[in-house]
Amino acid sequence: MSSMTAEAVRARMTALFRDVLDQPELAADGDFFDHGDSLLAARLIMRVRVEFGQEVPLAWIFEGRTAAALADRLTGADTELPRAAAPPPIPRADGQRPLRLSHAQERLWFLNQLDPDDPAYNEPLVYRVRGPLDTAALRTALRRVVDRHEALRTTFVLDGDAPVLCVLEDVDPGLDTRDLREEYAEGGDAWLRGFLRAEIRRPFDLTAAPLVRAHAFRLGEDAWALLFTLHHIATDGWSNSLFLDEISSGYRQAAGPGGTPLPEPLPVRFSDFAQWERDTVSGNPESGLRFWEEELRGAPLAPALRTDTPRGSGTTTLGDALLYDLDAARAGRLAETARRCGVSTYSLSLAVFTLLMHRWTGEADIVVGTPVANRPHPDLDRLIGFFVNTLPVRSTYEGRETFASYAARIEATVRRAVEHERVPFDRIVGRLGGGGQSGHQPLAQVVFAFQNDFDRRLALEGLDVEFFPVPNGSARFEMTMFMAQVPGGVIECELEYNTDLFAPETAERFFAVYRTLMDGVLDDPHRALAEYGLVSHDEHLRLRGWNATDRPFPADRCLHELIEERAASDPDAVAVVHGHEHLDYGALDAWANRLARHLRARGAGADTVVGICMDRSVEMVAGLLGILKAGAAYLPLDPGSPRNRLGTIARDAGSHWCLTLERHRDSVPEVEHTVFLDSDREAIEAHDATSPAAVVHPDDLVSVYYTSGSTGRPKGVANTHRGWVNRMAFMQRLHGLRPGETVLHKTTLSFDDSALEIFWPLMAGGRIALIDPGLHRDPGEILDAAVRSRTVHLQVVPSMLAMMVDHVDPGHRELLSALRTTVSSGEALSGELVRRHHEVLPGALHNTWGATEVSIDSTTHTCTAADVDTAGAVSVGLPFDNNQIHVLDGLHREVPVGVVGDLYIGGTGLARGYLGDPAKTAAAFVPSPYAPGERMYRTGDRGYRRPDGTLMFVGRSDHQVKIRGMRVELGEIDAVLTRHPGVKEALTVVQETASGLKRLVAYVVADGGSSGPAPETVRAHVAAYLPDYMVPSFVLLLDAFPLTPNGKVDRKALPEPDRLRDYSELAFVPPEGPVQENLAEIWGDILGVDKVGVLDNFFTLGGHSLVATRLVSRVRRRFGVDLRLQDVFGMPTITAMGDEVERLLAERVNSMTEDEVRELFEQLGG
Amino acid sequence: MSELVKRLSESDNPVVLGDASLSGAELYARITRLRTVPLTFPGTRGGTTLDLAVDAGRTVLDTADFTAGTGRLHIEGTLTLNRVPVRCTADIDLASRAGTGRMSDARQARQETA
Amino acid sequence: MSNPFEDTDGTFYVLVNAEGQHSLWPAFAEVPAGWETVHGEADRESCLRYVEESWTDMRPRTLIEATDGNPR
Repeated sequence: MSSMTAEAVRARMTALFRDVLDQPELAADGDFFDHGDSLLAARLIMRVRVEFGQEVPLAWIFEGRTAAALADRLTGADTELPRAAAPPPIPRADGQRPLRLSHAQERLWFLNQLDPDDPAYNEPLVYRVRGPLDTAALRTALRRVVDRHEALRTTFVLDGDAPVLCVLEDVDPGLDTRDLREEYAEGGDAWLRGFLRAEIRRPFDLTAAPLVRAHAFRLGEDAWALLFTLHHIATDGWSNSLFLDEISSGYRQAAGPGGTPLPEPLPVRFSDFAQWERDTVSGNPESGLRFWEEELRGAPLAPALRTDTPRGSGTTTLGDALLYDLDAARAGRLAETARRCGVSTYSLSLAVFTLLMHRWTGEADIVVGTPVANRPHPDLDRLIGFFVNTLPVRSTYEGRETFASYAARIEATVRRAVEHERVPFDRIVGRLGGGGQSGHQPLAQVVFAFQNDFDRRLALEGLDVEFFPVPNGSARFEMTMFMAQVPGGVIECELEYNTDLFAPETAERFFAVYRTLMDGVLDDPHRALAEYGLVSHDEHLRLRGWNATDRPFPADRCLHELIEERAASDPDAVAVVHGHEHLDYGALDAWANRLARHLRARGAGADTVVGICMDRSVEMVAGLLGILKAGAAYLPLDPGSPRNRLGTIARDAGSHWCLTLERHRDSVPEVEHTVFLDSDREAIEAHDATSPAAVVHPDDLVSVYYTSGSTGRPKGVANTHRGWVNRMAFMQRLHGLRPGETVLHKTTLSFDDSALEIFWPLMAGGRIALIDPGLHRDPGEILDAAVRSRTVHLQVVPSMLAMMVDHVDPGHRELLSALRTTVSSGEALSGELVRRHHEVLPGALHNTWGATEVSIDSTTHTCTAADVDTAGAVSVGLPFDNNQIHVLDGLHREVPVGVVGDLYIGGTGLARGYLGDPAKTAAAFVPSPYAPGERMYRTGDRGYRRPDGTLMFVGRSDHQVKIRGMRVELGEIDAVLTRHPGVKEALTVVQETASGLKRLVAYVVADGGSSGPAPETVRAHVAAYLPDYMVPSFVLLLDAFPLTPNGKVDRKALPEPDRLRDYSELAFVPPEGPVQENLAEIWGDILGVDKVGVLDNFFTLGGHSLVATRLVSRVRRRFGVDLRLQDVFGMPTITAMGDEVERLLAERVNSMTEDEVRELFEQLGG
Repeated sequence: MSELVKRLSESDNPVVLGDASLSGAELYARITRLRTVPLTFPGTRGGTTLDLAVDAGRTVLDTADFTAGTGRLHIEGTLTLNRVPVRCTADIDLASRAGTGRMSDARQARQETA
Repeated sequence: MSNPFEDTDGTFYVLVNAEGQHSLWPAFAEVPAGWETVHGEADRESCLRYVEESWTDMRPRTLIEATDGNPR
């Protein structure tokens, strides 16, 4: 080095830059990152180290950016950099041992096993050729390449239960030459594309060689289409360019006299690399894996993108692509902006893409994949083979950060990743424990790839050759964004997407938002990430349109006044019926008037709250009406709730009165005035039967409904007459109840949906039919009551509806002729349930959503056949009369269609607030930017709009859940748990079983190192304070909570309870019987585990996809049955797998002779 | 006692059994299997529809042909209206579902028969 | 991505409308029409405490004016 002059160094360096970037005209002060990216930088550094024999740090390229700068830095270095030892050559693979596949190859081999016909990994290279093509020369050139590169003539066979490389020596790829002039003349390019695509998609048999197919299709006298299809297991982008290069030189040599000499023999073979990769990576995998473990700690393992169709085992690799060109001017702006931000063009484009992912999905922590060449040794430079590795790039979003800063962060992340690029992707996945799911790729489902144009250039001597893009029709990932810089300065963008998962409109919108974001960034890269807008002006107008729900309703009347009107005009009509007990409107009204007077005589009236502690009865309805006529608001107190809780609620509401019946004497909380409608009958009847005519204003309260509070204290929602009158008026407008028609009242009064079953029919002159108390949990009883009462309308939560549809028999169906509408609310409704409803129940199904804080519900959706196939929950529809819904981002701005945001509700239905809690009210009922001076309610729900404006609920932004439709704040349960003297810390979570049932699981840390209270005791304690649906199904005692490095509870590390028993630790259940025992033995052997219990999960014990193929093979050998690969994923425990093996065995045994059966069981030791 | 009950027990009243949407088969099932059937007195202020608990012993169906939808039937049953236990009787023309009916205070009836 | 109203590290205002209803508002956003600032910029705790102390009658002003003075 010291012998070279600074000039010489600069010249050598510039030559290297030009070579790596394929820019022969590059100046010494040309910016590397105008043409290259971090990945090419890594390649350059390797060459520099070899060329100059010094350990030049990768960072120097980022800092210097030009050949001159790098050269000068090297020359001027004060101390010599450590000598870059020439890397030891890759040793020859030991021919005695079976040749192992590289890690990346194993993954593709496994995918091929899963679906041998999947063409997703067929790599096409298509060219249009004009001129006199010498097919013999081409054939020779091809043969040369295949001879030279072992990878192209390697097959993959099973040796025992693992795949190995089998290199064949004398393989002739041939050149399939066909005359298609006639077909082309007729069909033209359109036909040609289709024809080529079909050719490309033909499956490869990995047990046969070569893994390259070559065709020359004659389209005209001097016009050809050349198609080379290679399987990705033998090639990658870099290899493709080597392939094309050697075809080129081989053709020149074979076609002409003399020509260039044969290329030098290759220093290594791919099988040598595969062996070496295993030895070096397994030799010291730790540092690399440790880096990735750290880098991806806490990263999400679940896919971020919401799909139009649910992911599942049925998802294939079918794909399509959208194309878009960034013209030369914009591409120039892109490079310019990147330079100003101090990052490469690649990093900037990647940063826009990851920003898109954050803003589109609403996730603040995502992982995106990016391919790297991964040729960690100079000897591999000229070798065709599958080296490319996928690097996970993790991005975290902080709305206030500037884009420039974010892009720099992304670049730094990529740089770090590239320094550890050698760790195979599958090892990273394995270490993170993400290999056990089917239905989506592990860790990164979305990929960003910046390609270089020179990867696909083919030069054939004397011919005019043009690259002809023919997409494969597959998508290897859910979404892949390709960007390629082509001559002329244009950047071609391609969004490849999986068509099983995404509708074309979704992909188009995603792409459009990318372009909007890109424009915003190019315009000003120094704005905060959250500030880049996603919504166009037209879209704002559309969003506004969906909220134009103004409609007149009796805004100046109170709820009971509307009922009084009915009573006045139709006093003899039946208002309430319970079995065969009837009360007409006149009698109901008179009774309620007397009750109202009775209450007023005891001080109840305007601005007071009167409790009602009764179960369903005619008395209850009279009681409710009486309270409203007194001018007060009613407070439902469920006699089934623990007395403690009722007392808390009554006190919190400041309620001094309570209506009840003798049979509830023990449940009623202590208040100043308790009125027993039965035993106080005489006193009540002593009052006048006319209305006390209390002055009630529509802004006065109609009811107070308590819901679960996150800090342990329930909150009382104070509802107004106006809000509820609007709700009931809409009910009548939509459902058109006719006088005399019946509505079944089955919902518990303490759940606000019940108000719809009571007040709406009374307003409309209908009849309320009551189901007996206690029977509302039994689907059979509900159906019976619906039949007997001839209800026209039914309100249910989805979990009850699911039980009912399973329960309906033909006997019910024919007697449900009156039922016109079923309304589902309170929980997410599934498409499957919509289908089932349609199958067995008459009438329409509606889905509604809203909140107690906004008069029960605010949106409605009429279900149709289209809803059956919805991914996720069925749409909750559009806002109804005088309600508005806003989907907002973290900056309180509207988000575009398709993007998830927080859901806010505005309009007439807003409650006054939380009774006696102005602070909580102020934090939840916030100013609406869309209606001056008005508020909107922050629901805490998250969702998005579909292109037709209908809303889709996605989840919550906090720890509130719904159990059987009822709101549960997990924090409230925790607060009650910690009140128990034996409990120090508590954490309640919701778990969903495979069948969709939700259960509450409480994790508890005992106080003072004792063994802790028994689970039963803890549960009984909770039951004394909270309603039954909030009592955890399981209580697990832990010594301590597992923590993340941030000190937060690591929820993913919490143990799962077994089906029906509480444990303080997961139990080991030994295998029983020959099948389980043999299976456990195989598992133990493959996984290297001593004891395998029947409840252990294959993947939790360390298994992954490749090991799964070994398992399948062993099962075949041991039991003689074919367990499918999918079954290992679907039944990952000995119990489940054992059942399946037994089933298969039984089938097999049926066709065996007695001797064979005996032999088999002897073999199994049973 | 309830004014309405008094009115409906004083004389015969027009009644309707079920409603137009109830098929003959369903009506039959409700009378015989479920033992509960809706009976409406349309002449009241607002119309009064009551769910009758069918007294099978006193109900006569063989004079009606439910499949053909013709004939007459006599139906009797009990219920409570405005806290008054009552007994209802009605004679119905199946084709039109209309007929005449009457209510009586069940307590009085018991007193009378005692 | 958490909701700005839940951000315990953020700064807020307390706004009041013509009905006397109080509301929390994140400082980064423009104050919407029809609302007046009565407290802040301050941390969330301080704003909520202010609301607790000053919003004692949660009835809307329209209601108070229409009914106060008349025994009901």
